[in-house]
Amino acid sequence: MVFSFFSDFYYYSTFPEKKFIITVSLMYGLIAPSLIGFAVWFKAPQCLCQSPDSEEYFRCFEKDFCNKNTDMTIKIDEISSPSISATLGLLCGMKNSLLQSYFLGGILGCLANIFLPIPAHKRKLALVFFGLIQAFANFSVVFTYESTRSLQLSFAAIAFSLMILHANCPLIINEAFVGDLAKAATSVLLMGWGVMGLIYVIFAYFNDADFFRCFTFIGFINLANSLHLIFQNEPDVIEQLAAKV
Amino acid sequence: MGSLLLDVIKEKNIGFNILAYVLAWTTFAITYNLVNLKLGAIGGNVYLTLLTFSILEVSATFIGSTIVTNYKENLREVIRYIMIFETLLTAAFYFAPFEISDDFPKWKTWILFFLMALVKLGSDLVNNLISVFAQKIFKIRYVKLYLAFSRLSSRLILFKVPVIIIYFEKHGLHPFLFGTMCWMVCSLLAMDVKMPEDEDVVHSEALEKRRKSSKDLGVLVEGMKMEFDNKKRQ
Repeated sequence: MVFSFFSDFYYYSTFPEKKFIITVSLMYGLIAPSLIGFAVWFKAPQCLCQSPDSEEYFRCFEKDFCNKNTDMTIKIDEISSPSISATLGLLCGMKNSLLQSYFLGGILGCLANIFLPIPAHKRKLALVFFGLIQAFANFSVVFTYESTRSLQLSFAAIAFSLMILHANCPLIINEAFVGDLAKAATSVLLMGWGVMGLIYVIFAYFNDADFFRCFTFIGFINLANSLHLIFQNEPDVIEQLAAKV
Repeated sequence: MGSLLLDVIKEKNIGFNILAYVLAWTTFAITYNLVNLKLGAIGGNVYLTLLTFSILEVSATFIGSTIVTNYKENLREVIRYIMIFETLLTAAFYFAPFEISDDFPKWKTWILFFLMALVKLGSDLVNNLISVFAQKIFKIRYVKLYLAFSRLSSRLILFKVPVIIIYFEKHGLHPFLFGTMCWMVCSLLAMDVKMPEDEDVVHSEALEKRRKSSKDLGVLVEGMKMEFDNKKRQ
């Protein structure tokens, strides 16, 4: 009973449909690390502060240091758990600028969803395009991490493509299938999100949140997935307006 | 998209459905963020929190599938009950401390963690059920509109969550009051959501009437024909 959506998915779909659903689900799932990964990437590192009078470092919090306008210097303690913030030394303003660009990209993506709707028969191409943007943005975080400007652009691109994929992956599944298959396909899609989140957390845990590996890995899967989607047959969009599940 | 919006204004039921469930999605995002911002990673372990949340997301799919299989006819009620459950759960956070200090008892931390997990599970379930039944609730051409607006509204309001927390705390209110209020409004709106069954009652009655009348008409015509033929034979 619980696994009914698996059996529905298995029995009611043809082989090309199965491939299409799984590819889109994987694409949908791959955006999960970009959302939930935030907690890992920007985990506040343990900091050491030094006042101008003395040479000794004492333990302090990033939050407290950023709020005060002091002449103190801050450095990241080596024992702090790894994250982008810790590895690249992103604190205070730098971190905020990255977060701002990420949210700005997200908002632009949402607005693009509303005001630039993708025509029904070009959705697959759009998914491929935004999947590639996602992949290259992930790569660009790894290769151009030294420049804050390029990091900002990469994060904005990740958020922008994320929001468009977030709305269009369920949409394409909803439009292409009806009846039990639509329910089963949507469930597979949603499960893809959870499973990829799980894989990401386990991967990040065993690699000490090594963002070089994480972003390269996600970028490669995204690239392969998008390229694979080009050769998939897009199921016909069902034009019935009052189609029932 | 403009024409779609105009159509939605004409079709009041669909417009209401979209409004109700866009609010549900937004509340889902707000609650998730409130929990994360206010309580952070309980026990200080980000991985444990994320792992639990991911496991809950997968299990929500299976629970959602079971609900879809068993309670297909009462989906609106099921979603509403989950929302009421969410309201109560979010209200339970009133008893949670604002800051978790080191001397906070461990068993209380685990209770908080369990509550957090339940809130997340309920929100995921609502989100999953709406996604699975999107075609049914909104009609296929409005799914796009729902998806686009729910993402936008949740993003825009998420920006305001830290401000809301500060505002509530300034006035001596618990920040979770905002989440509870949103869930309460959602559960009230969810009562009036129109499902195709509601329209079908009208539609099927009208259809049956038309079919019956055409049948009657057909019988009448047939009878007239037969009478005409009989008269002709005579």
